[in-house]
Amino acid sequence: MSIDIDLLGELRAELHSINVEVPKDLAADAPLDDTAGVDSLDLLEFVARLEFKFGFLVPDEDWEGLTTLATIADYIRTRVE
Amino acid sequence: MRGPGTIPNWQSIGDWLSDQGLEVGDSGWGLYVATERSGGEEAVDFWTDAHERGLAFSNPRAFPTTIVNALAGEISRTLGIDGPNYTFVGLDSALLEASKQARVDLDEARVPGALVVQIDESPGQRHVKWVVLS
Amino acid sequence: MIVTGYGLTTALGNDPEQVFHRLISGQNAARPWDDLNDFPISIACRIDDPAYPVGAGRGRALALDAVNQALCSAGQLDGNGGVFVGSTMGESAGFEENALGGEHAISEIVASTFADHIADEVYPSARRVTYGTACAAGNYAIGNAAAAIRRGELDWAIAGGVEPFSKIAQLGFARLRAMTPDVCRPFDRNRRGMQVAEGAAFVFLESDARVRDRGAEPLARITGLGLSCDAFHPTAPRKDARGVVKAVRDAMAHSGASDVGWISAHGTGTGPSDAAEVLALGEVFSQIPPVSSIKGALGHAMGAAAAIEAVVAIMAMERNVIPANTNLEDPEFDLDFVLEPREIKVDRILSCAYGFGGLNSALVLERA
Repeated sequence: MSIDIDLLGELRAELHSINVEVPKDLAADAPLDDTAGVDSLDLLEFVARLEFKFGFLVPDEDWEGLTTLATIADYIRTRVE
Repeated sequence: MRGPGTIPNWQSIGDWLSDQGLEVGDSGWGLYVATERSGGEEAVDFWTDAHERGLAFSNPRAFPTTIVNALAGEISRTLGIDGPNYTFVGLDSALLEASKQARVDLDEARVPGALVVQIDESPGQRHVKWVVLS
Repeated sequence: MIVTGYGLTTALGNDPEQVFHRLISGQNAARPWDDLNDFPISIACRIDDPAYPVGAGRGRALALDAVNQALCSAGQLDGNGGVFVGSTMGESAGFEENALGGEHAISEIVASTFADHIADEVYPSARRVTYGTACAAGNYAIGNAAAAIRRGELDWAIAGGVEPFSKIAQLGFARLRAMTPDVCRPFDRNRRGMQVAEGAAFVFLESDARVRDRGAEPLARITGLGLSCDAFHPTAPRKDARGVVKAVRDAMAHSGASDVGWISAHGTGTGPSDAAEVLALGEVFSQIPPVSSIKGALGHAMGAAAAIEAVVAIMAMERNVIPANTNLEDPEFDLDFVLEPREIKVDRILSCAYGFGGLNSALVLERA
């Protein structure tokens, strides 16, 4: 599944706006955890913003798979298509 | 008690208190907060926002801020206060109870030091008085 | 610091005998509710009784019911008394209604309203103390009331917790992905989260002298309270459980006890919290006593939870039966979990409760 570069850029900007400690150029495959400066509440808010923005809800069974910007971007593309 | 001081909207209560030059010991200090309505405005905002955007899209981060002891948690994290952590709810009687409990804990050697904080919230503003006891 | 009366109202009933019987017979209060159909999860543990008003004022009604039960054998109230109450959200429905155009006065919906109403109703000159200490509030109220009597400040106290159903919490916990979509299974390998509940529970506490002078029947003693704060995160517990260890050790030290017969765990059924609790118990006890959480049956009544669990603990000592850890089928941890109600005489119980903001509390209750 290809990753839309613009979408990745959008995700990076959104995440950085939630927590400025997260690098603006965070790697697409970097785990979204404390190694990236991402706290559990940051991730929850991030996904919540994306849910609202793209108009879908992430069921709990899909939540575990949202671990990197890349997997989130892929997930969004799947749901939006 | 020192203060009252008004916390700017852009600053967390923990950072603001830290800026006042508070010195808290390494471990075991107690925190005794008195407040009437902390979290109340946040609760109303959370619920208003949830209805505007749809319940299922509400912001998860906002929920813990609706709880009256959220500010005590924030203060404890910023200042590293890991002993007994109290939030007394009410007006003047809550401050009396907070001060009394701090004194009891000090006298019984349950804590090596105590920070007592009164938080007074009016819409959009937060005023704080505080005192360090040891 | 003797308990001579107790009362409670929960999703499994408002008669202590009935609640205990339902707990022991494996009943579970969780079910879907029509007015929660728009919520991510519509299952909760609520009180289905038209006697209690819906909306702001519900908490006050729940509290007064439990208080009146606790006062049944209290005799004539006189001297220095106190009302100690724990709650997380106060009259949550009041805030919910205000968000949608309501105009409840703040003083009527913040948590301190419960102690005020209770005192105004039963003993207006009572000292009033309200702990807004999240899901540990019930332990704070009971433990500190007992301590105030021990210090000679009071002759008696009404102490406990109340939490009317909070739609804010029902939504908030679901959005934090801390809520199970189906069954609450504390300590189970397949646990998926907690369930929101409501309720109220109160004990009547007296000094030894007062109990002796009026010939009251002692039901239990409150002998220790330990408190600490993780100072780590708004909602997640410390993985090393250091704060829980401190609270439990302090409670045990202040009670003068080195062991307990049963641990009434906080056990909400959430991943990290249950794991941290087990880690802490392993650090404090070389051999961990039997453990169970009753939240699988009653849900998590937040500010009332620890108070409900304290009353259940007293009943367990009275009846020589400890309740099971409901819905536990595949324990993730190697402990002596109470899988079926266990007939055993227990003289001392440790009751743990932790809350948002990293609060940790542990209460020790003993046979009178």
